[in-house]
Amino acid sequence: MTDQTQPPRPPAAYWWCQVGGWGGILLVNISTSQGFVTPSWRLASGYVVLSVFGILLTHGFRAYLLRHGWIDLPIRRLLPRVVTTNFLLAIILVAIVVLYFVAVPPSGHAYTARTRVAVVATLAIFIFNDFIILTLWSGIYFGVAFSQRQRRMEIERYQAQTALAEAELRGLKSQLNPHFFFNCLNSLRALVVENPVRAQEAITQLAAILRYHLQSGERALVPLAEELETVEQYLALELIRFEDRLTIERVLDPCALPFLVPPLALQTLVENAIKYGVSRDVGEGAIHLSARLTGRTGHPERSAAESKDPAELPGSVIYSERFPETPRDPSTSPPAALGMTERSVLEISVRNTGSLYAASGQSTGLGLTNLRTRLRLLFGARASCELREAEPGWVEARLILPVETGVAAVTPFGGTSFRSPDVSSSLRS
Amino acid sequence: MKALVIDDERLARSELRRLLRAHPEIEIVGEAANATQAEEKIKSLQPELIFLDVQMPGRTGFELLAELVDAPRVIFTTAYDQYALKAFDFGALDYLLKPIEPVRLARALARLVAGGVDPGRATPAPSDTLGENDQVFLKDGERCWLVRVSDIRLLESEGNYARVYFAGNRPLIPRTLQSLESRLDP
Repeated sequence: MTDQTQPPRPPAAYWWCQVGGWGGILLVNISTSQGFVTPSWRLASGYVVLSVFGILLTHGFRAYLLRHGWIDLPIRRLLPRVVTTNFLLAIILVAIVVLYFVAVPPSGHAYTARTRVAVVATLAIFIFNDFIILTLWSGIYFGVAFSQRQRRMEIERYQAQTALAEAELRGLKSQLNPHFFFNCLNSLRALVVENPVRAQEAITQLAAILRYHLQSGERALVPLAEELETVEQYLALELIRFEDRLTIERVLDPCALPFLVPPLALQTLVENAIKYGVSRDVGEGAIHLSARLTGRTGHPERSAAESKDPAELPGSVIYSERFPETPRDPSTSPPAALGMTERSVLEISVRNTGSLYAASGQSTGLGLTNLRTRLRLLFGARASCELREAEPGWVEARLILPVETGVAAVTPFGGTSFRSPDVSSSLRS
Repeated sequence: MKALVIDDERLARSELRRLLRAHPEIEIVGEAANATQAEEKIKSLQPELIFLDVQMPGRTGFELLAELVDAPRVIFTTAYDQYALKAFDFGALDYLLKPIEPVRLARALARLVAGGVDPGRATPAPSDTLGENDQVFLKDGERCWLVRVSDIRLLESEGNYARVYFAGNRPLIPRTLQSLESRLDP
């Protein structure tokens, strides 16, 4: 909103108000001046200049305040700005008119005051008059703008609520992947006989996934670590099904784990990777998971180098082992302390073997569409989810999420203390 | 009765094997993990019955069946393919939902007996020609049918394809009329 270079074209009503208002002032000026000074076309033309420049200056003011996002300022910050601007504009307006009258002196003019005090007093009155007019203009302009914004926000809120409800409904349908659940249960029947211990473990994992899915609607955001826990449980179950046909690699920056993601966001991407990658490959398939923070100022390369150290992070490492032993306290370690800037983002990538072209034919795209809708509702344009063929034979789903003070919860696991920003407030920002 | 189990998951195959132990008349002669393997094994082992998973890597079970020249009897197994199953003419098709219920498996096998094949008796290997009581599997896009040859009213040539007319349907299948003619009992 603040960075737009071209202010939006004003509606017709705006021009009617401008012309009507300044035209009215012109008429009042001409009619009231009759009594004091000899009427002349030169004097009237001066008033025309006043009204025309009134329109021009206030129109410029409008462009300026839109470009600098004054509409979104709180009243206590807006008021001094508007008063100061109006005062300056009043001086400019009077200066223009005075200069005009100097250049085109009205015949039989009434400016007889010759003393310095009288001149200053006259100018002060003119400035005050114009200031009042400009204040009136600002009052009307901001009044209308505020009420319009209020209405727009209300509509947006309703739209967001409806979209959220729809997304939830669709989410329940698409996210609880029945094909996976039934296949998994079928494998479990065989596993119970073959390897009872592993089967017991798998049943617990399946229960945990089911619980996570059912509870996903309750929170707008969860720490990445928590989401990863479910993803790992899910992958463990898929490994039972696919056995040695599936290999998994993870490169997870421990610093990224406490940051918040929409629940099931990563899960959706991983499920898609399995569905359109490994389960379509006749041979072996692979999934590469990575999560990192980018755009940090403090120690930008530290975590990347750390994560890439193969000795420290073998392919099958469990992310929880990588987590720092002393969890950071949110009060002492704000994102800024981690080297975060406004441009820092959480980048999550899920790569799978396969081709985008082969998958597109069979995909309903529901999971991805659903995820994109949720991202838009939560983060607006600051989050994205792209699907692309990273290199031949590899499809990559990349999720970019903003990392900001309000969303950063520096609580490692199953946190009860992290702050989940409510959806409505994030929609507004 | 010789049967082939086709499923991409090893555990799913072993589960079906275990369930079939209750049915000694079914002899499992082999397993296949994908459509290509299945084609080879059908050719070499000549099973009379196949248990076929719908969702498989590479070609799906439907695609495999539509390409088989001489299809054995089929019992589909699937976890959750409500869309795929909707495309079917249910009456003619046997399918089992995974995890498979033993009762349903028994019922499906019993239906095979009622359908004219006695699973206990060694049946001669299927001949190359189709009799009027044989069934053919047809697939056109997303729709599939299992049709009795006697129900087919007309075969129409459309280039390298043939249009099959039966019971209000007229799917286009990727076979030439000549190849179909050679398969039919004169």
